[in-house]
Amino acid sequence: MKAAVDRVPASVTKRYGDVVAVNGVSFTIGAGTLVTLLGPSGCGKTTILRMLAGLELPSSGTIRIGGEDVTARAAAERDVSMVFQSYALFPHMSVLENVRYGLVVSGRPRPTRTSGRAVALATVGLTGLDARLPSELSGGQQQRVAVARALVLEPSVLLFDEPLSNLDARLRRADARGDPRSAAAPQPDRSST
Amino acid sequence: MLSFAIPGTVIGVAYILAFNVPPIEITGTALILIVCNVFRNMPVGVRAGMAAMSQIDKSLDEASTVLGARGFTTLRTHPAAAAEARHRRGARLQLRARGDHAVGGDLPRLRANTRWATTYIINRVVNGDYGVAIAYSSGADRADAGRDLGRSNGSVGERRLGRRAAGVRHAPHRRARRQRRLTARPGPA
Repeated sequence: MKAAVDRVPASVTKRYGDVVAVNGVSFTIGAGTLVTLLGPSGCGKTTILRMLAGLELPSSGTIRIGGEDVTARAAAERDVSMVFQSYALFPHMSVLENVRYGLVVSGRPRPTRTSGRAVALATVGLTGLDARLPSELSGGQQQRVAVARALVLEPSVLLFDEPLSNLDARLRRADARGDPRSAAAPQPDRSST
Repeated sequence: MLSFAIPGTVIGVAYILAFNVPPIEITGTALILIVCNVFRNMPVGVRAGMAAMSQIDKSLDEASTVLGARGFTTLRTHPAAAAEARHRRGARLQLRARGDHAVGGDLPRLRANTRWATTYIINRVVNGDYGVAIAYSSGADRADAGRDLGRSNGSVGERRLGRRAAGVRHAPHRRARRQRRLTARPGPA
């Protein structure tokens, strides 16, 4: 995390009708730190991440990233990337097209795009699988594509929404060891929830 | 759905009457056939579009947004692209089936000495030859069903379910095509 995420001074609340999903949460995360949110199912971890990413609007409260109030800012305008629980890879795009998607739509200069996607693919150990569709990848490989797609943008805040939950126990252990042959490369302590 | 509830003949006559006078005078032209068929079949397209869109995972849109795409870019690149293939297949099947029926109905009118199976069957019923009429009807139904099924299989193609089956049978040329495309465009599009 390059920029600090603050939730001050007002605590954040999210309601869906009568249901309170997040009730008065307030915390500050320092720049360069890795934080894991732990809690039982349905306690609001994903909702907090979605509010940070801009996919949900808080019912009340303020979200600041790098000291800047981003509460009302759209997801596309925040310097935040997120790896989804289901990976959300674009099924009609190849691995390379998935990874470079963020660079293309964000309108970054061409040299940055080319080097960025190559670095991202190499980082997660997917070199050589550029032309494959997500349906032709294993679960671990799909997860790595999702991670590469988020990393390539070099965001200020990187959010992981239980990215290991779709993998079986063996792949999770391999992932935790950082074994690139059979599972995803990123360290498990990058997971936000 | 009104255009489906009303019989096609009624719609056709309505179009002829409505567009027989200025300012839009297209009765007797090919344009009225196109316009009539487009509006009559529009509910199919709308419903097919809604069905295709509703099957697309919401997280794809969210992922696109988080990666920096605006609303229109997201719509253009994901739901529309993902639905495109389904639309194309559905449209091809619909075109085949509807086209056959439409042409089948129109051609006999073009030649007076052409014997029309439907008229022949109706005449047999009027004459009380129910056995002959039923036999012809059954034959026509089976021919229709066989033709439509055969063509739909040919035009829509076989189902390719399963990652392994799809990968083994179809991946090599698809991968080669994608690789060629990526090689031809070294920089991102």
